[in-house]
Amino acid sequence: MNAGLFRDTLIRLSLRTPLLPLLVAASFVDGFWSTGNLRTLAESVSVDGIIVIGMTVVMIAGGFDLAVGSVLAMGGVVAVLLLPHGLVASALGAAAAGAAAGLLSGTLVTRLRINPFIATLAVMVMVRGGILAYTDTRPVVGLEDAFLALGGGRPLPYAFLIMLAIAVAAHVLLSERPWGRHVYAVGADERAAAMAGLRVTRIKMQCYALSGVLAALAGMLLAARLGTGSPIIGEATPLTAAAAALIGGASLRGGEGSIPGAVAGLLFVGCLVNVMNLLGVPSYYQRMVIGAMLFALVVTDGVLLRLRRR
Amino acid sequence: MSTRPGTRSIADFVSPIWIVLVVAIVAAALISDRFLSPNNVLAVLQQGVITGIVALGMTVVLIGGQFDLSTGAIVMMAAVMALLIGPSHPAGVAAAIVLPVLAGATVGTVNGLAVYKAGANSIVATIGMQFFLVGAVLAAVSGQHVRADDIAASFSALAGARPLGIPLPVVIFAALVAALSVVMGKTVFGRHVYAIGGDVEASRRAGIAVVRTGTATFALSGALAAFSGVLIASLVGHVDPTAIGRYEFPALTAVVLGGTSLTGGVGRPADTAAAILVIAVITNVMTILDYQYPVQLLVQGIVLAGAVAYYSWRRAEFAR
Repeated sequence: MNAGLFRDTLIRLSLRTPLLPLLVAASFVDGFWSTGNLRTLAESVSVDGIIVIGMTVVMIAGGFDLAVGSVLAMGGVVAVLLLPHGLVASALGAAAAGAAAGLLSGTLVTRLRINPFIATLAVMVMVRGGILAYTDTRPVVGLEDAFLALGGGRPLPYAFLIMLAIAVAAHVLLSERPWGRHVYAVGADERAAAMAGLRVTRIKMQCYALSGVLAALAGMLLAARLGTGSPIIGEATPLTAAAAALIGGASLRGGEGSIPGAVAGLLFVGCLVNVMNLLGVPSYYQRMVIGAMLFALVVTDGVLLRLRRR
Repeated sequence: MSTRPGTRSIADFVSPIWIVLVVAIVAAALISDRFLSPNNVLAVLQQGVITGIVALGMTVVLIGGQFDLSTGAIVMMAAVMALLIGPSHPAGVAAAIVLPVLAGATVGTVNGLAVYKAGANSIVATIGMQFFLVGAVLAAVSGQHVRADDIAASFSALAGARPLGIPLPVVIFAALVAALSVVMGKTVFGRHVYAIGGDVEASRRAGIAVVRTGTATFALSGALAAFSGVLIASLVGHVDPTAIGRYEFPALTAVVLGGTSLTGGVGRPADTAAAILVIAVITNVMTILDYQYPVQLLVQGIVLAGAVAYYSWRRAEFAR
């Protein structure tokens, strides 16, 4: 990345993601910079962060993934159920389940040409119904030492380190490898990409599968932290993830966005929720704020596109 | 709509969903002998109506090429509003019906302006609106159960009256289906909605007031969803806002199952009504056979994906 591009990215990020002003404002909130709170913040952004990375890749490819919340819950449940076979089997099982959900979404979107929102909405409901039926709507408990240790980590939570590692890997994959260019090309103009010889279907399938795997692994990490895999969690996750990705510069039309942007967007949303928690804002108002923010973001997204067309 | 001008086939008048409905009813009657008992038939109709009214509005929005996923939250908002207004005397009853519907239309107008004026993605914008409304309503009532102490008989009659033995909501639903069929099929407004759903840019150039017409579809959808909420309030007289079902999903499933195109321009309110009955029959049979909510959710997801896949496959066949 050359200096000019770096500067542009920095300017765009600070324009779209008012992270710095929020951090300054947060400093006035008692206890924001305390070690305990920073740890809470790191824990809360790590699970969402892993999901945002997958969501961003799908959005760059011109898609959307509403199923991440149900897949998050499924990942946790599957991981806990497979614990008796060891931690590795549990992680592989969760990843496989997530990949299956992602491939199902990908198939609906590419082979059957279904609108990605509706396709992943259907997958979201199927996965949710499936795990609710399987678990009889009760959480499954997993209390193995190794599993619970995975949910801990000092001074930084392991989940946070894993999130960072995945973010770096995804960033390198997107910006330094041919595959990443292909994803941007498919998202920017699918027809042109196909004419240039890219395997559009395969690339999109890979993006959805990646999103599914990451969401399921995030679910496993969350289950490790809580000691249970709950079939009902993650209802708001697709929204938070979409908000973070949109704040971070991704667009609903594809071809735009970046992992650093998404992480900045995620930190913004994470800090906002954290500050609201510190201030004792009831969760109902937090829902309102997230909803209003998402609404405002897509309106901005639409207005920006119209301005650019002129 | 026929692809060859001049020739009209039976498919122009009867969509496949009506055949599916007949098959579903016959299958249900064979599976359970309780299905065709008068009480159960009325229960099926009653069950379908609340979702059905929501689905009618979403059908009109989707014919225009957009999605309205805020409807479930509007149902909840309207039900809570109706009870908070307190329909204890005639003026209160009128207010408890009119004000929620106006509020729903207002929310719809905001959605419509965001989508048609500002160019926002309708799915994400209306999901954002859904979250905002659910949060706002829960905050307003502190997450508590809402009940009206004193409900006038005239308000309960809205959902409870049975002219000629048929529940009033079913009669209202049938009237709404008929009215919307006329509006969409015979009026300038309806044709404009089909035109916008077919091609926004061409409609704009042809002089159609895209923003006004499109926003009106969202306002209509908001008003209808709110009316459903009022019916719920009238039916049960108390509302647990956290437990109110998520109506937008079954409603969307019905809209898609009825053959409304996901890209707009194609669809009929009456077909949505048929799809609503199909879903109500399936849900009813599953309840009779003691399959609980999770399995019903799973089946609905499969029905939605299957319906979308079927229609997109059929349109691809036509395009060839």
